[in-house]
Amino acid sequence: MIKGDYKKSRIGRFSSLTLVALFVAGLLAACGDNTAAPTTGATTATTAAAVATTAAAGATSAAATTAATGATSAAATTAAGATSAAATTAAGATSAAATTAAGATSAAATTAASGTATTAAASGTGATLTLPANCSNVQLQYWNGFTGPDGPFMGQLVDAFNKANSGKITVKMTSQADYDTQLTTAAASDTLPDIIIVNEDVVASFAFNNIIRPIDPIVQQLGYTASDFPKIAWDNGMVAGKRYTLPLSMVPMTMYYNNDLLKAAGISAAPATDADFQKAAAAMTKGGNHGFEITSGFPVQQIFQQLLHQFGGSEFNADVTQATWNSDAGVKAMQWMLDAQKKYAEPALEVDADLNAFKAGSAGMIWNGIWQTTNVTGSAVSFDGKATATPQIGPQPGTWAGMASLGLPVHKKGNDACKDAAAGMLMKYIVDNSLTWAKAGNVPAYNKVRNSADIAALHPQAELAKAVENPIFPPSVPGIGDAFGPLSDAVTALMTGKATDVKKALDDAAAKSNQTLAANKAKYGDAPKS
Amino acid sequence: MAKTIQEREQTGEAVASVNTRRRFNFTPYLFILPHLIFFAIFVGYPFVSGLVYSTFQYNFLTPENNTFVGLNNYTNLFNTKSREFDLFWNSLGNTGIFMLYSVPALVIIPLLLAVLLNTKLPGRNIFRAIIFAPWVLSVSVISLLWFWIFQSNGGLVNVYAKALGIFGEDGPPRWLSTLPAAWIAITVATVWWTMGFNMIILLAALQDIPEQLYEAATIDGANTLQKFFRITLPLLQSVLVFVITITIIASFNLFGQSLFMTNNGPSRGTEPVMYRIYDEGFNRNAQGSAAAMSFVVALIMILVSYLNFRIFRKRDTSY
Repeated sequence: MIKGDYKKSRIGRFSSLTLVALFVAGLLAACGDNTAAPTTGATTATTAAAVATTAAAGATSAAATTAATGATSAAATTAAGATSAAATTAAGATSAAATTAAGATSAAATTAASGTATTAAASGTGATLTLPANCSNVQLQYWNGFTGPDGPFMGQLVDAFNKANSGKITVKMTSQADYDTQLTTAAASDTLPDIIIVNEDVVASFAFNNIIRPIDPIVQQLGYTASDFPKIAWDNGMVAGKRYTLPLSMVPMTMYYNNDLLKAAGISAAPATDADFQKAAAAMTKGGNHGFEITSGFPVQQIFQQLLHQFGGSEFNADVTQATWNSDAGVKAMQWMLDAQKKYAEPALEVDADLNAFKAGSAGMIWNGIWQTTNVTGSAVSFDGKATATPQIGPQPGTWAGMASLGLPVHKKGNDACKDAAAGMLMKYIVDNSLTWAKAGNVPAYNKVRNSADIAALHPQAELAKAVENPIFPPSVPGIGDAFGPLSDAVTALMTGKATDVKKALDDAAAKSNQTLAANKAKYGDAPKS
Repeated sequence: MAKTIQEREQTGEAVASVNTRRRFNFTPYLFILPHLIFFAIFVGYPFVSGLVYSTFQYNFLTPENNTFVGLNNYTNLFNTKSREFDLFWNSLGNTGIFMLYSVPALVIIPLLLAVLLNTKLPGRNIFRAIIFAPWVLSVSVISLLWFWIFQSNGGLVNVYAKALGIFGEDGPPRWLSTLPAAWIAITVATVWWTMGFNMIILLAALQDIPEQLYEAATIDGANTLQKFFRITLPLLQSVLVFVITITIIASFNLFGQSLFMTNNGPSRGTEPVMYRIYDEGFNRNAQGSAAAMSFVVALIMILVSYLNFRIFRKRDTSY
């Protein structure tokens, strides 16, 4: 009797609940996916007791609103490991480099800023850009992704600029995480700021997606020419024959070495050639220590690119229709990495394991971005950790690097001549005074600053000033980051031992990438439409 | 004193007049209106617009280039030569693998915990709270936590495993950069994170089972195991169906754990289908293709949920 009644009511109610849940499931799937897939849309939104019906209301709104942000912020935070490291890596990373200098900077930077005001005036080779007479009290929005300790360095430049132009121009700087997504959403709603930082791998994508616009006349007026910057850095801003960005600073691949281990192995100087590198790595690999540590995630794709170029290869052919990393140079580069891993490193390490091993004092040398300087050298470690340029392994010079450039965003309602002039003036001010910015752990792109005596006093920027003369950047075509995906997968597969045939893995990756290149070409065409 | 309709029917008085007054009543519709509005905005509209996007080569940044492509975005997903084919089915397969790992664990472990914590264990409320606690954390927090526990250099798991010599000469696997170790790491993190929620639901259902049934079984001489399989499980069945259904859905929505812990690696080996859709839509700016993927995944999810429901319904009728 009791059992019968019980079953009837309970099971009836719960099966109807299940039906509702099933329905919610379908709808959640449908709507959640459209808005970029909540991590656990169903679970997080539901509250413990009220099970099915409230889930419909709670979960769906959560799916719509939090999905996008949750997902994208996730993407941003892990960018260090991602292939399109660009914005956040450079940002969060370069920032890291700033801490040691942080104490002394405010004084140093302000003097530097005011001191270089004269340099700025003197450096202009062409006509200087000034504010048109009818402009007054121009309000300028400046966005970047410098959310780490590097932000304040850029802030000092902006403050000094505001001071120098007080009453005429006021720049408001906004540093935000998840920077590329912020720009994309602002572009969709036509609320882009007046001047932005653009990273080297998205220049073309931004140009083709109506985020940045050509700035040839402004750069001409500012007086910059090709001879003021490393050629590759200068060309990175060109898309379909027009200039979209002005190079500011680079963050190159850097070698960190444990000087105590090196000395104990009887070697007095950091290796700069392949032979010296092998010798040093072999000498330091003993008793639980590893002469060289290399991961299977970030930055192995970047190391591969660097070696590929050093052995005379290239990632793509000249018109960027074919991936060419499966060349002999590519096989050589990959083989070098596998040999080094086998001889000196631990197998199949995950992202950041190289840094952790180095900090623990058990790794002789690692290659990572310059932004790790304050993390693994100086007072951050209990040994003599040093940073310098990576050794040249192949016959050609070449160093992987990220780059921050300045660009002007698209405004669908039309551009303001006053704001454009003010943005041009700010551009020039930042580039000419990039010494302050260099102190945050960046290598200035502008030759005049990079080759100055002031940079020679900054370490490791001084050691890396030469390396960024031959930076390795992706070609300036839209969607190029996506074409690197198969390469990243292949290099990781080889480094983890999942794949063993180097040539075949690189061939397969190239074939996949060719599909993406063709799809991108069909999607974007040859030149931005607007 | 007013009589109910049933009472009037029984006595045969004035029922007809009541029925005529009940022709159409707006009141229930007014009650669901607030929900209906949100439903229309956040489910109805995105559903329809998603369906429209999926038939376009769609990029919201360059609306002037959007072109109608019919079912191309869908056929691409089934064309072995297309760019999307490998990526999509690889990620869908990964999500399937994760479901196989996580769903059984997320049903069995919470069930056992619920049964355990339904006894008169001293301090059971504290244990309930402890087990439920991780569920309130965000995915980034739990992923970072388990990233550090599983990482190879000084991670908690490896330090203990090495000290105890569990993995022998080769040492422990690379939890975050090799397969299938990466799935184990992700599954352990997920189970720890969400098992408390399932446990609470099952616990509530357990408390609804009348004590008399167990008393009667005890008198009949049934042991604990018999009571569990003959009383507890059958009476929990409909709640279990619900728990399994929402766990499958939650597992299908895997996104953050693999992104944070393994960065979807090695070589997209743990890239879930939800990340693929996100990447397609927001990194590649191919929202049409992403919408098509969403609908394919939604259909698969509806099918899986339906099958799950059917299978358990059939067994239900055998009692």
